[in-house]
Amino acid sequence: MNDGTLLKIRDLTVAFETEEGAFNAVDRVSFDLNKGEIVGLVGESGCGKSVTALSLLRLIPIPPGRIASGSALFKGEDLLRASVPRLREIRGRAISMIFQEPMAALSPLHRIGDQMVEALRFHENIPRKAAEEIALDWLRKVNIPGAEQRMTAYPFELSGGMQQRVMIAMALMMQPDLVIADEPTTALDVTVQAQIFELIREMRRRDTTILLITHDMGVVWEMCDRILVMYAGRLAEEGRPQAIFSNPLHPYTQGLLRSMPRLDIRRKRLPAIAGSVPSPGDYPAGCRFRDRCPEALDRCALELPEMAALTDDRRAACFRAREYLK
Amino acid sequence: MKNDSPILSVKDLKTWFPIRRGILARTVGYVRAVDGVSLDIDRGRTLGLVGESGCGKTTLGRTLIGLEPIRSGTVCFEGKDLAALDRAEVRRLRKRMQIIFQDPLSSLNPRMNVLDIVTEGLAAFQMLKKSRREHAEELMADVGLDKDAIHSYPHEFSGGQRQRISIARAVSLKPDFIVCDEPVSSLDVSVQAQVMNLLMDLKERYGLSYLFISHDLSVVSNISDQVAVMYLGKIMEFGDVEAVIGRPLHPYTRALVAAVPIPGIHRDRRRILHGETPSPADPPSGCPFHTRCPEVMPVCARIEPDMIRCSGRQVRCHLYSPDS
Repeated sequence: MNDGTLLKIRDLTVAFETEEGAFNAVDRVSFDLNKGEIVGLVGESGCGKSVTALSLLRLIPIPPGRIASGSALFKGEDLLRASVPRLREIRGRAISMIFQEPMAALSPLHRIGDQMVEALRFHENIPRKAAEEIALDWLRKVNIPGAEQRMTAYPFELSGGMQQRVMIAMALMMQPDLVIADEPTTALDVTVQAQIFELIREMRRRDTTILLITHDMGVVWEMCDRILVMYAGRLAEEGRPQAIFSNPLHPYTQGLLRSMPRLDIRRKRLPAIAGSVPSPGDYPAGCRFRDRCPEALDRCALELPEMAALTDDRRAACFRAREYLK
Repeated sequence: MKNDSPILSVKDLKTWFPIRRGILARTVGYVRAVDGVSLDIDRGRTLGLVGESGCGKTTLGRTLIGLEPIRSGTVCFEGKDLAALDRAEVRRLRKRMQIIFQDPLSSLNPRMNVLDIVTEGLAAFQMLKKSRREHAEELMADVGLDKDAIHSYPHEFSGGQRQRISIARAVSLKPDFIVCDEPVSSLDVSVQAQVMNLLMDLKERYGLSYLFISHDLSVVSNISDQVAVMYLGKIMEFGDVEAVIGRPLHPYTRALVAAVPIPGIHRDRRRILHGETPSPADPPSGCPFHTRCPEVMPVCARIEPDMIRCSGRQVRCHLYSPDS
């Protein structure tokens, strides 16, 4: 195994069986995360980006969910096959998560400091006093004003931005190798988002790897070293931000970038993508973007395009990707 | 047609909500959600209203169409002071002012089918000129929905389609003015553009005027003719979109604009604002933004700046002096 690779995901398929039928919310997804990298997993609601992340820590509800196939080698150890006690050791320690809704992730009944101390002492056999000091230190590191007083506050007493800082402090205090951040700034104002971005960049400077899940193309541009675009449970394309934004290879990415309102360009009409995201039970045969694709070929209705390498660091799942490559 | 007079004119508008405490529910203070706003909305144009959560933008929109009580100041619709009208006149005006909410699922009645939803207003105002079905089919066509779906219920539609239903309901009474309160914020990126295009088309077709409320500067800058930037219940900068977004003057507007990621462009990251918005129940002295302003001066904490005209827009900041 390449020593730069921290997590190697191969053919991850997550199936859901609901009353409306069975479908693959994540369908044969493969990618790597390298040490000290910020990788953006971007897509619209229902595309499977959160399910991908949650299934790595086996946090999806089983049933109705099921990890149907694949492997996720984290420093050589397959997370998808690890025992439950082993997973508990990994969660929050080697891999931690930051969620969109900090209020839903923090306990409403316990003081901030107590929650942090409990998490620290779960993973490490240290005295309470020492744990309190570590917790306080991290609250200061994420720029929480009056950190000492905040230790005894309940989550509801803090603003959304402050709650998200607490989540980040909790995610970082065990000094994990990987942080999975699921829409960490979606509920926040842009000025607070900019502050949180600074913290995430600071994490990377500590050599932490970050998987940043978002629907916001602007966010991935600003933050990421590498971007994975997901559509309808499958990866559509992968590349560095500069390459993806200047030369998108998948018609879905092309459409998204064209249709996005931009601050620097005013347009009377936005070139919108037709139709809407199909619900997981209703994926068309062949390429799942085919119904909305202005570039579809006959072949697209028959075969499902797989992710294929086009250059050293670019992959796309489109039969026509090579034509678009500049 | 009095085409040059603004459709809506707001003067020193205040909407305050009382904070009540104790068993006697005594008023112990006020949340100053809208605190002295003056602006005009021109006929056939879109005014974008931006600001962070809690700045009062939604309350301002709701106050303009009579959904919140006015504490002081005036709102004039085509020159008529809303507060001075009797009930019958208010009712007549109400159909000319509509609102589209952020979340169509919670603003559409789940027990009504689309036909009933989009024609309810027409029936209430005795404006049915043909069968409800014909009206509904026309409205569906107007907003780009399949007319065969008029017997379906809101949950059977996707988010983008549901927002089209809200829009059909809003335009059914042939209004002149629509408050669009974050109408595309809950939609997927690939659907957002469709709904924005629809709103722009309807504006052209029916000569509508919009107040377009959004926290998303990119959306606002594409859809608006003019932009007002709100902070703690006050307008900090107001003018044409090219001036306010393109060449912002107020330090708050500049920080907001700088915080928006633009794909393909590396932004100047030095303008990150620190701290958070103070509470509108206890606003700072002087300029409301002085506690976070990167260019704060001693005067800012003492004296609240007036709105002045400067470089083709209005701005409320001690850094600038009025155009002579």
